[in-house]
This record gives sequence, C-alpha cells and structure tokens, in this order.
Amino acid sequence: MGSLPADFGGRILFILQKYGPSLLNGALTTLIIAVVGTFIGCIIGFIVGIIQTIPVEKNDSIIKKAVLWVVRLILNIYVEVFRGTPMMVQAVFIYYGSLTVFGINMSMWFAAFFIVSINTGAYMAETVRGGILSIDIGQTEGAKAIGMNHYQTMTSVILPQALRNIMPQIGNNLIINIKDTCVLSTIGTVELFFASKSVAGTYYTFFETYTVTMAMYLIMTIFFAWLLRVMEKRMDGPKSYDLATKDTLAHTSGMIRFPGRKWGERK
Amino acid sequence: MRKLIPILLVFAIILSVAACSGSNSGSQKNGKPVLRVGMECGYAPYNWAQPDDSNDAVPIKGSNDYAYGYDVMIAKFLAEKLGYELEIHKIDWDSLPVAVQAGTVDCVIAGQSITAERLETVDFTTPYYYASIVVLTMKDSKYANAKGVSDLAGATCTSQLNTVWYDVCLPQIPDADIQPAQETAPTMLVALNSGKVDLVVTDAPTAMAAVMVYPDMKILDFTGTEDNFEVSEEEINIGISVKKGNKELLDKLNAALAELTVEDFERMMNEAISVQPLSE
Repeated sequence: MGSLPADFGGRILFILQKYGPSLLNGALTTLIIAVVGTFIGCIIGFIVGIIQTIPVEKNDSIIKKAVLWVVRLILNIYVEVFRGTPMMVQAVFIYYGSLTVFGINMSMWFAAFFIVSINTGAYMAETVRGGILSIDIGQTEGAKAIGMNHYQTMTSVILPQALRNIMPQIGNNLIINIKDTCVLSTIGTVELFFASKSVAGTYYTFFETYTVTMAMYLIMTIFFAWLLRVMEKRMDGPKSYDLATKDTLAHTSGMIRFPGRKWGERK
Repeated sequence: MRKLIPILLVFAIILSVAACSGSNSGSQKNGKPVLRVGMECGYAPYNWAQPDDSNDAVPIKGSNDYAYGYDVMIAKFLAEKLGYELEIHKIDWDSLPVAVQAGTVDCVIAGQSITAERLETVDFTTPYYYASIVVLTMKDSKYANAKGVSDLAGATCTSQLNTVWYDVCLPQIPDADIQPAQETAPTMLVALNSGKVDLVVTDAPTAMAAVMVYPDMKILDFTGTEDNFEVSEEEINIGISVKKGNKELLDKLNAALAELTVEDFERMMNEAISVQPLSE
C-alpha cells in the first residue's frame, strides 16, 4: 500500500485504486435499491392512482360509495404523509421505530426497499392520477359506447396511453431515487454516499473523494436518462407504418402510408 | 390489474423472506453468541473502513469492506474476553444512539464522549479512552501562536455536531463567532482549510490525523496550562454505550475493560494511529 499523494489528481487516482471496489459496491447497492424501489413504487402508484379515479355515479349503491370514500381517505392520508415528510425521517421511524415499538427486526435491505418503494408510490399515485386525467374523456366515452366496463376501459384504452404520458415522470423518479438513497445511510445501508463518507473519514480527504462520488452518480443518472428515452421511443412505435390490412374495415378508410411522420405533423 | 397481482405476490414473498433473514437478535455464530457493535467506520483513527483484512480487520456486515481502528481493537479484545463472535455494523454517527436504543446493535464503540445528556438515553461503560481536547488552526492564522483559550478571543470557529467540543468548548472562547456544527470530521476540516473558520476544536487523535492530510494545519494543545478549556473529567472520557437498562451486558463489558489500564489505552491508540491508512 502506498501513501497518500499530495496533489489533487494524485489523490483521486489513489482513492480510485484503493477504494474503487468499495465505491463500486456502494454504487451497485444504490442502483439495486433505486431500480427495485422505483419499480415497486410504480406498481403502488398505479394501484392507488386507478382507485383514485374510479368514477362514482349518482345511482351507485350506498355501500360502494362508502367503501370508496373510506379507501380513498386512507390512500389520501398515505400519499400526503409520505410525500410530505423527509425520507430520512421516515427511514429512521420505520427501521428503528418498528423494532422499538412492535419488536419487528426487519433487515436493512427490506427496510431500504420498503422505504424507497412506499415513497415513490406516494409520488407516483399523483402522477398516475394526472396521467389518467390527461387522456381525453372522449376515449372513455368511446370505450363505454362499445360496451367496455371500467376495468376493460382502463387496461385496454386509458392506461397504455397514460403510461406513455407519464414515462418522463417515471424517469424523473428513478433519477431522484438514485440520488436520494443516500439518506439511507441513517439506517446503515452502505450505498455509494455512505461508502464515500467512510473514505473521506478514513483519509480526511473531502473534495477528492466526493469528486469521484459525483462522477459515479452522474454516470448512473445519465445512463438511466438515456435508457428511458430509448424506452419512450420504443413505446411510440415505428415512425412510419401501414394500417392493418387484415382488418377488412381498414380498406374502407383507404390504405394510407405514413412515411417518416414526425411529431406534430398531420397528414 | 389482474396481471399485477401475481407480480405483487412474488415481491411480497421475496420481501418477507428478506425481512425474516434480518431478524438475528440473539443469534449464534460458530456456537458463540454474537456481539453486534455499531460504529461509523469513517472516523480515523477510532474507526475506519479498508478494502482488505490487513491487521486482522473485521468484516463490516452487509458490505465487502473491513473495519479497523482503535474502536475495533477494543471491540475485538472485549469479544474475545467475553466469548462473543464480533459483528461490526456500519451506522451513521447521528443514528448510533437510535440504533443501540432500538436494539439493532448491542453496543456502540465509536469514540463517543460520556456526557450527561447522552446518559439520559443510553448507559455507558467505564471509559475506554481519555481524549485530550486540542485546537486546530492554520499555520498562517493569527491564532497560530495562541497560548491559551483567552488568546482565541473573537475567532470564527466550528466543530462536529453533537460533540462535547461543539457544545461545551466553543462557548468558552471569548466573543467567539460560532458557526453551525459540521456533520463529520472531514467537512469540519474542509471548513477550516477553506478559510470559512479560523479554528476548530477536536480531540488529539483526530487532530493528529488531520495534520497528516493538511500539512498547513497546526495543533494547539493547552493541556496542563491554566488557560485550558474547562471540561469535566467525565466529558472527555470516551465510553461504550449500551441500551438503557441492559445491565447484564454493561457489567460484562465493564469487567473486561477493568483489565486494561490507561497505559494500555495509550499503547493501543498509538498502534491504531500508526497503522491507520493515512500513516502508511
């Protein structure tokens, strides 16, 4: 083992050489928690968002109205509490609090996934609600007109379009989660930030260590930003396409080609 | 929705398995009870993280790194004496008291001073180190030649959050301009090195590590003079904290610590300072 060089660049190389694997491990932990947390959070968000947008008709039974009212009240409380308090405090409350009060000794990993998921879920619930509301009411009416029920309307008509519309927000959440997992150091999760803190505390080198850390965070977030763009493009489908020819009705509307159609361009 | 239910179930199962595997309180390892010790692993020379197990460093739970330092040496000594298998948990400084109260770890060996406030919430063993308080300043600072606390009058200063240095020592400097506390030792040193503050107050081992990285810093030690910081003997004592009321463990730890003398502490600390990654 060599000793700590005196210059900035030399110290960065030294840290990379000696603590590179530790920092990479931390980055991996960060990634796993952020990706899994965002994924489960999205599922929670979708469920909450769908329940929030179930329509209530005047002639619905009183029981349906009452159940929906109670469920929505609980969901609203969930969304407001987890959106309105810092994740760091939630982490301490959930991880240490559950052991003190209920005697539940959850593992660090479970606690980390749980906290990030439930937090993302609270944000995603509102995003999904917004996504569903962004789809023109005419589509719902159309779906109802051909005899679809609420569930079919949602899964076949509204949600696929809503999902595409909220993709940028899912990307936002993922990137925020990659950075915000650093608060999990309070519950002993050795993610990238906590690993860096150790190196900084071992060598008392603040700037050098965090230069490396920042670069690693940036690489992760830029990669996911790019990946999500690619996914969005794939969801948009090919830019040029033919109308389905198997459908006989298509002939009546004409077999129109749409070569190289761009956004905003109408033909 | 119906497609989502199986996915959710799978996750519920994975997570509940993960949750169960975590409940290891009072577990055994190699037929010995496990002593779970919490520390920062980022506070040289008390405790630090290293990528290999040189000096017989102890693996950090949930990480590929190893912990070593004065605290780990003490922890190893205690575990061996009392027949425990040692397990090091890496926890943030601020969360250490919460972790020991909640029972995530059995004890905290992390260079914590024994203060009256801390004794309200946790129990401390007898001291396992006596840390003298020193001042760190820059060599070109106007305070570089101070002979006592009164010479520091008017200085802009800071120290680490929730420490005796910040809470007790800084207010003793006349007309001091006390800045908000820093969260860790490295940030405190950055504040000093960048000129945001004139001086910081810390303990001797931290200061000795600091001057190795920042050769322009100077240690002012007023120990033994009339004009030193006034702290009670117990406030500069560093102890091991256990959950309030855990008398069984406290008595065991005290009995084992009683076999070490102040000279032993000094010898072990000097060894820790000499093998800390900075000294290589």
